[in-house]
Amino acid sequence: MKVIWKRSLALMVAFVVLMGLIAVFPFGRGVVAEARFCGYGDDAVTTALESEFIYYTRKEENYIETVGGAPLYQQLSEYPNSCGAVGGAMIVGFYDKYYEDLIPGYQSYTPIGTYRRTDRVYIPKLMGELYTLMRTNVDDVGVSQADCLSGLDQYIKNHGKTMTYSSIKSSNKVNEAAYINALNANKPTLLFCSKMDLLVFAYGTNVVEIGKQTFSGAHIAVAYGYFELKFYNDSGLFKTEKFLRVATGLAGSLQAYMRIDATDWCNAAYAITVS
Amino acid sequence: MKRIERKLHKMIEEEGREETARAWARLEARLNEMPQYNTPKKSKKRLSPKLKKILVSCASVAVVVAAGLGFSLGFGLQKPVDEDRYCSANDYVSAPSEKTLKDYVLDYQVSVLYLDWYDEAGEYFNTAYKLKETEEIVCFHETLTDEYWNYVNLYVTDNKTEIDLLSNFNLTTEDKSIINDITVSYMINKDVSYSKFEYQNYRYFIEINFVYTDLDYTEHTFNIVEQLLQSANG
Repeated sequence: MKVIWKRSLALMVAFVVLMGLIAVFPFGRGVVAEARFCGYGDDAVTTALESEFIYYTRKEENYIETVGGAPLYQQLSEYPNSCGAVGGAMIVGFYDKYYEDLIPGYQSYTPIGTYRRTDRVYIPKLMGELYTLMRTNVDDVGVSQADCLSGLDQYIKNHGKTMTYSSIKSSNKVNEAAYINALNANKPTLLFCSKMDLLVFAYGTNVVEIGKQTFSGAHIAVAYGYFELKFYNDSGLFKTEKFLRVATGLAGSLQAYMRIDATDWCNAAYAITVS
Repeated sequence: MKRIERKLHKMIEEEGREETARAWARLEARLNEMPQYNTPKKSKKRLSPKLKKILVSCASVAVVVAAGLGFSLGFGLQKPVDEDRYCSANDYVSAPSEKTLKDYVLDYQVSVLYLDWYDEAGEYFNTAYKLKETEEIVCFHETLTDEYWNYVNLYVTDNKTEIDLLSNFNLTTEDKSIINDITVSYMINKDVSYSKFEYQNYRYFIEINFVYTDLDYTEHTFNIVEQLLQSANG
């Protein structure tokens, strides 16, 4: 009896130790599932446009963005599940204005300092390189956050520059103050989204229509602007809406807005610096 | 060995050896006189130069017609569509197009409007949205920059097709204006204008992303729509 009891105790202890080890050191890939982006394929489901209307007697707008905005590249069908590569390409295209060897042979900006949208040679080539460096579709469909950042970092290193990034996410959303600081420092932000509610605006007489389309797949995009709308009626300020301006990489909605205060989409957000 | 030869062989052998040589000689002479018993040969008939020319011309025309037919079917916007249809992102793929909208109009004589700015535009590029099943182009997207480096996005569909990538044009807060006798719906917001109209079985959607702020966005939008409508006059 004493022997059985000792053996049972030993087994229990071993079990507890094993569980503790597994909790600390996941054995092999797949024990902890890593979020993937663009795993939907390039035909992610979007919902039809839903509108809300805000009626006001007066409104105020405040808008800031990175210098010249951001290059609005679009996903190419020859690179399936490529939102990581497109997001990375937009970061590279942004900084190519300041470090022209990032995209050798290509000038990413227009004569007035805004960004070119695309071309048929250099940008597809850039996307292809990033696609490979980010190991897109290697371990699973799409790309992981780690591989996206690592691949982008490698590309920038390969072109003689250094990338650093800092998280500007807090409490399940983009930290507004940190984001505004990043914009004022002329840094775009790489967003890792579990989904996107993409917004567009139409201005009427004393009314703003906010049209929303939901992109249901996990996606990577680049934020480059901050837009604030304040609405007043006879009683004064009754509503303040704050938005990120986002380069999505998606056809038909290359640029859109997302609510900065929403807590249901932000997996991660990093202000990217290249120097 | 042919049947007639076998018969002759038998006859010759039955006549005896002395006659054999004379008989073989007679046989050979006889066979040579009878061409239907010769082994047929594959004759290389040569075409006359005139016939060759005709055949090459016909083949060339056939290739051009086949290519044109395939292309016009692929362009899709040339085909009449009988019923209303909705295309979602699951139904189509996008592909860059080397051809401009003007190229398609001139090549296939379709009555699609276009902005003839290609020489002046700082940048332009084209994307065709094709149905996965049939490769029919259901929407053609052409982006050009205007003289202020604003990006003008022109989307063209037939008037039976609705496509989800143009959902942004479904905002209801819109105004209407008559330009060149065509009713144009439009919306202007902070730095984007959306306008749309229908003209001769095609729908046109124009999104202008303004980067130049010292402009009357409404007036500039109307100017561009007017230029587009004027392309109908050739």
